[in-house]
Amino acid sequence: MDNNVNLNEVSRLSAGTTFKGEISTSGDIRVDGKFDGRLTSKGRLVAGESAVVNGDVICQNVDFSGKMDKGTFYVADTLTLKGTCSVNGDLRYKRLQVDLDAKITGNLRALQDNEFSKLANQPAHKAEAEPQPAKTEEK
Amino acid sequence: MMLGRKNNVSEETEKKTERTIITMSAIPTTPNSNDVNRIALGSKFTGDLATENDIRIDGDFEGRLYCAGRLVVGEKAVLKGDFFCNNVDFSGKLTAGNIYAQETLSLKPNCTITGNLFFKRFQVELDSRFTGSCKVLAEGEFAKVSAPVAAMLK
Repeated sequence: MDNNVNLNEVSRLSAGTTFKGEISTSGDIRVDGKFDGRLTSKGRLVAGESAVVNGDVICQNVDFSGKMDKGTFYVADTLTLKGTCSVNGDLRYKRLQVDLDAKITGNLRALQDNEFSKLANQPAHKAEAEPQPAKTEEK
Repeated sequence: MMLGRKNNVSEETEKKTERTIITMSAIPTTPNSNDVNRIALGSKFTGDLATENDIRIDGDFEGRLYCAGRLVVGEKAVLKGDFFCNNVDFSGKLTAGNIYAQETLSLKPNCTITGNLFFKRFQVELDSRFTGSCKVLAEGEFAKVSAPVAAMLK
């Protein structure tokens, strides 16, 4: 994360922390612990090497070095998968960067116009009830 | 005399907490800067959280929280639910729920609490607003009530 970012404005789940549920934040968030659920951020998600993230991640930007066993990334701008990461899930993004040695299993697809804004405004239960691949086929 | 000593202790604790936070902001590259969990202003967490480390909340939290360290609740924070912590410094707002502090529970000026408090040691500063009941924890009570959330760490 940029050094000029005020650390007090960044939400953080440290290593040694487990969270299950829903997070919505207008700022950035750093995860080094375990997260399971739905995360919505208008900023950047940075997941460290020790992070374990499962569920839906809906962010502007993502730097991911950790592990995802099951889940989906919806990234409005750039999704960066670092060399240490291991991802098993679906990736939706505008721009994608993958470092050498990143382990990825799943579907990769660029977001269509307006697709992200629809998603981000959806309440959590609706997003789960509406399977995303089906929606794609309609278009 | 007793009161004077007590105040000194709490002031020292407070200074220590503040110093830690300032150091962290000044040197973002400190390895420890990521050890403290933080729910920043503008963030809302809904669910269960368990941590071995300290946590600072300036945003919204609703659910259950287990913290083996210190929970610091900032002035603008809004909380609802059950909180199981070793130590608590509370300046924000609890709209409903229970706070269990294994050690010291400290209510800071301008905090607003609607709920029940359980603790070993209790400190209330002037201008705290507290509506609810309070009780000293019985032997083994903390471990019992916090067990379901603490189990998330295993």
